[in-house]
Amino acid sequence: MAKRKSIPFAARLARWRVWVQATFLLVWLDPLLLRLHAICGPVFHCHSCPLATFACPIGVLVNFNALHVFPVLAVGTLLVVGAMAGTFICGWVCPFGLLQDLAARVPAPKFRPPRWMTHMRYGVLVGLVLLIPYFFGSGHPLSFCRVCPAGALEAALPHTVATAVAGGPVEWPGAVKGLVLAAFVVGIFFMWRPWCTLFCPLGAVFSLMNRFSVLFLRIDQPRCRDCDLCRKRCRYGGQSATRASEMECIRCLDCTRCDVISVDHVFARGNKRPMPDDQNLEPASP
Amino acid sequence: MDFKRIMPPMVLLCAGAGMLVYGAVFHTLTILEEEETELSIPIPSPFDQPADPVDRHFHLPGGDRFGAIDPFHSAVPPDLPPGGEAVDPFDPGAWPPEAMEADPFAAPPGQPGELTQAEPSWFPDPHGMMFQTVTRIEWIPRTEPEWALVREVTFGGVARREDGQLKRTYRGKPPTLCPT
Repeated sequence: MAKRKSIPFAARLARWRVWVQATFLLVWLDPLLLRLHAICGPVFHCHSCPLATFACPIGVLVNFNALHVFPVLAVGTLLVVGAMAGTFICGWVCPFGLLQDLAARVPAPKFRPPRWMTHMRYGVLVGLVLLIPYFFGSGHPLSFCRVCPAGALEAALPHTVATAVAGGPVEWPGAVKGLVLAAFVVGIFFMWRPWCTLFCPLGAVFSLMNRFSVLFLRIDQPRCRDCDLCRKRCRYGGQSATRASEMECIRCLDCTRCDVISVDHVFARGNKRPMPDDQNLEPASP
Repeated sequence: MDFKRIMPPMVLLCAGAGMLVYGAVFHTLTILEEEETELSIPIPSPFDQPADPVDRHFHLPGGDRFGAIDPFHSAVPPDLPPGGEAVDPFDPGAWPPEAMEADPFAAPPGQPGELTQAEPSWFPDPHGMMFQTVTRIEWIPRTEPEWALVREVTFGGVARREDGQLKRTYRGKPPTLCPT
């Protein structure tokens, strides 16, 4: 009888990812009605949502830019969380990611966008989050909060419905916001995390820190047999030909099914994190 | 341990932690806040009106020549002399000495629209004073920590004025919905 190959711990943990996300949802949805809006949360969750514990860091960046004030607290939060975990936040903690993960479980053909499109989120970060609010104010129709699908879904829609039920005057979201929301709602059934991989400015910030974070995905290059298991299991385009923790990776740990890839931290004894140059090493022959 | 690998996250962590401490404890911002002030303004009695509107000698401080009174520059109640006894308004000997030297035609200090403490007038009023309540709106600067501003921006409670200063967009109870 053939010995069953053991599954690495990280891969076993990955099976519980949706439950971890759901548990964190209890933190973000403010079940205790704490309304700690003076504190920035590290996730993409609109603070205007009736159920929001913390302030949205992107919303704070947008509004502080419009006020021409440097957002010390928001940037500090992003630096600390990003330096610790990088895009682990996207894959394991973010409620907006959970929503997309759940929608993607609906059986439907899934499309993978071209790789160049994943760079659009840096454009969103620089243009819609930083530049437009700074020069034109947060009232500009292309200021990020005005087009944010999380704001439309979590805040504008519930408030609109609540106002309509209460018999008050209904104020519908703007046309651009409505279009973005419609595209998002359709897209999450036909793509794996379309918002995270294409447009999310918070994911862009964390992905920039992926190469410097304390926790990271270690690829044992000499042991790699080039079996392509990691690329086959990755739904988000995170595993490139270099098989490193790419900027598109949300660290869902699906690729750790291959025991060449593991979660590691920079303090590990004898640890040598692959440098960007190291990733171009030829894999060892099987 | 590979210190070359440890340094970048450590630098980022230290920078982030430092920013969190600075933002939570030391970083403050000045926000202008609208505040309503109720003022009791005396209504000048007919005794204060000039007999001849054209007569400059009897022109009221702050009033125009035809009797229209600017309440901010109108006469104010007379002070009682020390002791608080009633004063015969028609007895100049009972008037305080500074009243004898004061220029009765000078307007109270300050610019129109600016809240100033008017000097007590030496004009006594034989029939007592009537007051009207005027509501004034002023921008009061308030120093607030950054975390308070983080909370304010979640519902659009702060906006930027054209002169670059921050102002609160509401008075009293904060709005529940953000402007977007």
